[in-house]
Amino acid sequence: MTKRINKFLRSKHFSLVVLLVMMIAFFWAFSKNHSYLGLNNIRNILNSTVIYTLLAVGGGLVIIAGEIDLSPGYVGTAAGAVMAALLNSTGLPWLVVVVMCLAIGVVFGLINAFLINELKLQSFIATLAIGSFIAGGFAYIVVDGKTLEIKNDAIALIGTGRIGGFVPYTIIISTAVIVIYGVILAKTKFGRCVYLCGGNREAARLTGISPRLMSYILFANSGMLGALAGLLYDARLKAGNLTGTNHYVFPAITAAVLGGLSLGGGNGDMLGCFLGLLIISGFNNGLVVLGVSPFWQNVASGLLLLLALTLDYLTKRGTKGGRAHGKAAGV
Amino acid sequence: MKKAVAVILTLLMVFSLFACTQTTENTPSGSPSQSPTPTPTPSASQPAQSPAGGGEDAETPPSADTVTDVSALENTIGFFSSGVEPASRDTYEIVWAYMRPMALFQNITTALKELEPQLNFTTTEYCANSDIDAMIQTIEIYSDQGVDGFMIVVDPTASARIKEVLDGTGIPYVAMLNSVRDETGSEIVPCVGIEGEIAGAETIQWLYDNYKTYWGDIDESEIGLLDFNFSPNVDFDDRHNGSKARFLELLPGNESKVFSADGVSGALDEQTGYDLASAILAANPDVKYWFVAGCIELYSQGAARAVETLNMDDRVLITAVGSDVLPAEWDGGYDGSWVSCLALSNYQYTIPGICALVAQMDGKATPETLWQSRRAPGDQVTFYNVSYGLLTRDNYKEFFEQVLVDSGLA
Amino acid sequence: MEKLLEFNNISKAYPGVQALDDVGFSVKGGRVAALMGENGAGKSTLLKILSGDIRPDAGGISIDGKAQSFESPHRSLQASISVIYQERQLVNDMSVMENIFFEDLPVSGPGFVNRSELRRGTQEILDVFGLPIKPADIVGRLSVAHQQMVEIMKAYRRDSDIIAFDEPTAPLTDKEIDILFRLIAKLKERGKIILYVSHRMAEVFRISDEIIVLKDGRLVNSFETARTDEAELVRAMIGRDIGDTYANLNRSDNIGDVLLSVKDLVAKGVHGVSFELRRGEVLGFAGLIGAGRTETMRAIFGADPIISGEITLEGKKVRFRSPKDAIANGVALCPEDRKEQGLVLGRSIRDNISMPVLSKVKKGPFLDVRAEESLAGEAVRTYKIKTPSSEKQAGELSGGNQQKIILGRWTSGKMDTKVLILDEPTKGIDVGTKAEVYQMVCDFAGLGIGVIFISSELTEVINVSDNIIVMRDGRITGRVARREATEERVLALAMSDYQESMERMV
Repeated sequence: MTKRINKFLRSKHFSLVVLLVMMIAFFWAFSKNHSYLGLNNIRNILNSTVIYTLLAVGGGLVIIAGEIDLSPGYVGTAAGAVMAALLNSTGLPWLVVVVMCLAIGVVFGLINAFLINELKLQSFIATLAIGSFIAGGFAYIVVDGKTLEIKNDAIALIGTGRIGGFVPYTIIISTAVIVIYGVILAKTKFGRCVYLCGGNREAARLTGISPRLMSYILFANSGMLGALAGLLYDARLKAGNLTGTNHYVFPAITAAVLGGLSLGGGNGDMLGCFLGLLIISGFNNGLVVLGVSPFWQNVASGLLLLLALTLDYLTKRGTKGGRAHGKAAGV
Repeated sequence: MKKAVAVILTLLMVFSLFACTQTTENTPSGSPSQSPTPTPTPSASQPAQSPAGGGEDAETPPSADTVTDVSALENTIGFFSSGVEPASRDTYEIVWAYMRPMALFQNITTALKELEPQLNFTTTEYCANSDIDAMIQTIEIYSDQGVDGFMIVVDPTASARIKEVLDGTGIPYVAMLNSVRDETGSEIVPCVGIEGEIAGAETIQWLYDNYKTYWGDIDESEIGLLDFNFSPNVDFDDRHNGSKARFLELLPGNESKVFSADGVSGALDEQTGYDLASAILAANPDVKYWFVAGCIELYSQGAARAVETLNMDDRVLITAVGSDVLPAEWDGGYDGSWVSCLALSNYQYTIPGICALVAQMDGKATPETLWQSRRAPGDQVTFYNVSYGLLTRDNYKEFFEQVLVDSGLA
Repeated sequence: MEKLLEFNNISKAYPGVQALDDVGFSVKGGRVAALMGENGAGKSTLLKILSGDIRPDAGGISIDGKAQSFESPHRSLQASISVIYQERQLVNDMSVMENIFFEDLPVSGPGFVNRSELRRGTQEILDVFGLPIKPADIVGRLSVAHQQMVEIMKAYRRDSDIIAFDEPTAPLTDKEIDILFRLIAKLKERGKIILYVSHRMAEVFRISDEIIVLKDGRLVNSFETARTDEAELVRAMIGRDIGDTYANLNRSDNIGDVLLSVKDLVAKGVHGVSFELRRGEVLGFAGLIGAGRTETMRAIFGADPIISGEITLEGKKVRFRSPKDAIANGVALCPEDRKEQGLVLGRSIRDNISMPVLSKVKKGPFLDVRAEESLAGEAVRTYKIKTPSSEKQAGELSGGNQQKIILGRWTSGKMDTKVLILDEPTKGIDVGTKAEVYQMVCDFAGLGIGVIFISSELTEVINVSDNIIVMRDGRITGRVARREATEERVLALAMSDYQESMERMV
């Protein structure tokens, strides 16, 4: 038992918890009526994590496996726009529409995987191209440049409804996603293969794992979660939107990196990701609660990103795994 | 070692946060508010009166319960009192929220800051950076924080939802610039802005009335129109339609020379205006003369740059709805093809807006009671049409000086 | 005044390996000294010290009696030394002339490159060499041979006093080799000191004045070329006394029927290979680097595509499209580069061992961590892997222990390995662990596994294997049983192509 406690104390998660507690303490102290920790505000913080969570999970898995996906934000916008269009112009039941839109995400993901695996394009370039030029323009074409209001009751309920008048459905969905994927990553063969492919793709291949298959699955998954993010975004607005989640990927990945994800691959877990998301959302919320001017908010967010990357670099260099990696590359 | 660095960085963050917080509470945001504007109102110590030196002297406002529309007593600039003395109550906290950084919004912030002492309120500014979801989240956050009122630019693409959220908070609010209408086109949120179609039409009318000054007696059939639009926003769309309709009224034979440029594929910025204008002007060399109408100034600004690059300054006349960008350019010595704009001073927006909000916060007005005399038929609440002027390089300074006089801030 | 290059008591150690041990010799100006020895003898390390790439642990280099110390390759260049490596050191996207004058571009005015001067200077050099290359040609588009010549021209331009060549003729045609040798002769005339590293007997005899033989990091002897012969050199390169280790190996001479049969295998770098592997047999594959052994095994394992050929395993015709197929059929491969291809350094020993059998350590939908732990524990015990626990990261272990992890992976309780392919398993491992590995190989054979043992170290492959197959240039040049195998014979087979070219050249 003490061994486990010791392991936790030395882990990255502990540093994150410390950071989180310090941040909460600070904002609690300086907020008016200590409203920062009010139940409502906690719900506000969790609300703002919803979209980022989905993108961090999908994109995070891809990064752990050694690649990168910059498209989910754009895919989300496209999926949301399509959902609004379908709900308005066809009589299809909402569940069918949702499944179709998630399928769009899967298709974009498979296209990404194809470009990367068969045409050997670099994942950064391929996903950025797919994302911004296709998914972004796709949205406009589908809704003909108009934003359509969503009147479907079921979607409106999912987007804006709350259980017991308090816990929004969207938070439940995003929490379920991160928990499920967290378990998959930590405890299943599939999850283990994600880490192995990210750690050494060739070695994984030579022991019978198929990195190519993993790549297809992970990109399709990232696309699907991106689509889900876009659907929830539009559901919350009750309207189709033409730029909605486009740029949400970067803060999402920032949060994941803060939470221990290594951009080089092979490292990271969902618990750390969750802590990172809490820190970033809590931070942004705190700035608003304190009334910081919007332009200083940007500065502060930038500093936080810098902090995240610096910690990532220091951790990688400091651990023995990092040193061994260096030795392997260097000698 | 790792932990030490983490702690140091955290302390650094905490410190800088502290520094940021101080900035907003003690000084007005940023320095721009200091220099160009005149000294803040000297009449701060005189509550419950229309500002000293203002246009018409208002009568001592009658007690609130005998007048259902407190705004009926507004002065030329739209200022009115709710009947409650600002100094007699707590300081209101309002949130001024908008979707993206634009010169007009900064100027409204400036005007609000200047009015703070007089009407006893503080302003917290919020820019959603084009993210509607973030806007909604933030409304919730501020509402939980217990702010007293919202002055908000409602994004038309999700206006129904934004209104829903605002209504859910129970906090009074007033909309700026973008109208919020239901399916029948009836205005459902009290809003201060300009009637889009008329604004667009008047800019073209002015160009038509004055083109001879710049071009002499040319053959009218040679004049073409480049009309900017941003279709997702219904107000901008109205301006675009207004310009086009008026142009065709005045020059019916030139229909083949009318070009619409919708900025929907780009961003609401100067670059999009530049790109669209360059493309259309270059692709139509057979059109000898151009009127260019901008539904927002940024597009006209981009077009002005494009015309300079294409060396067409002597054949193009540009106009725009809005007067935050062009006067600044004139101040800097600009003398190019962008010759006029429909002037809307930030004070003309801000003053009716803040007065309406204060009145609601005081409990002396509701959305339905405001500005009844200005309500268009079929509208549930009023869209307050700000009066405007057509500005040129020669008359703009006078215009703004007059506005200041009217606002009591001169 | 004659130039003199001296290597004085040079030693260099890497973790677990003594690359150079008190090596000292000297070369006078106007002479060509050939460096010979097996792979791992220390030749490349010596050249790297000469070029300033690495620093020796002890000893150093003297030029004309003055001790030199090179903190960086730049300092070595300044000392008028040029080392031409096997790998190209050229900028592929630039032209020939820019590469040749790389660190010394002719300038005019405020630092602009004087292109006409550049072109003229390059053409002069090209005329000396007489090659069909133009100064403006882009290096990346030249043939490998021509790229090599550009590399040599670089050194020529520098007019260094000391020039070292590392296997320069590997990519060259005969005509180009003639050009090179004429050039070397000219350099000799000018009093330069030339070091020439090569495996090729014929060339060494043709071009060198003296031959220096290294073995296991030590200087064995130096010979005057005119007064020695091939046989003496081979003896010098090989003779060792690890005979004891091999004598003590516990072998099981229980060789069964044919397990794996390969007929006319053609793949990239493999030009028609046929052989048979029996149960309980240790089949060694000898040859020099580049012989095609790794390529053959990777093709069999399904890691690389097969162009044509027939493979039969336990009587069934098979063709593995991916390593997964091979593994499912009981064929396992320990890759040549254990760090780049074998281990996931950032994961624990346990994770690395269970990699091929993840499906077999599940409890319901989840991985059974206990089962993995027991698997790993078994491997650690059986192979005596030095680690406090199986949770340690693989990257933290020494080379020998890392190799044991890979062996443990393929022979764990959940694996059913029939054919075990080991590619250079003792590369970079200390002598003690090597002995352990040899015993493991024999033990595997004892269990009925067919072991393929690829090694470039002649002594090792001859003494551990039951039978030895020698390859050169993607083809099998000979088969020898252990009893009849001598190192001379195997080395000769490994270099056998040059027998013919030797006749041609001399």
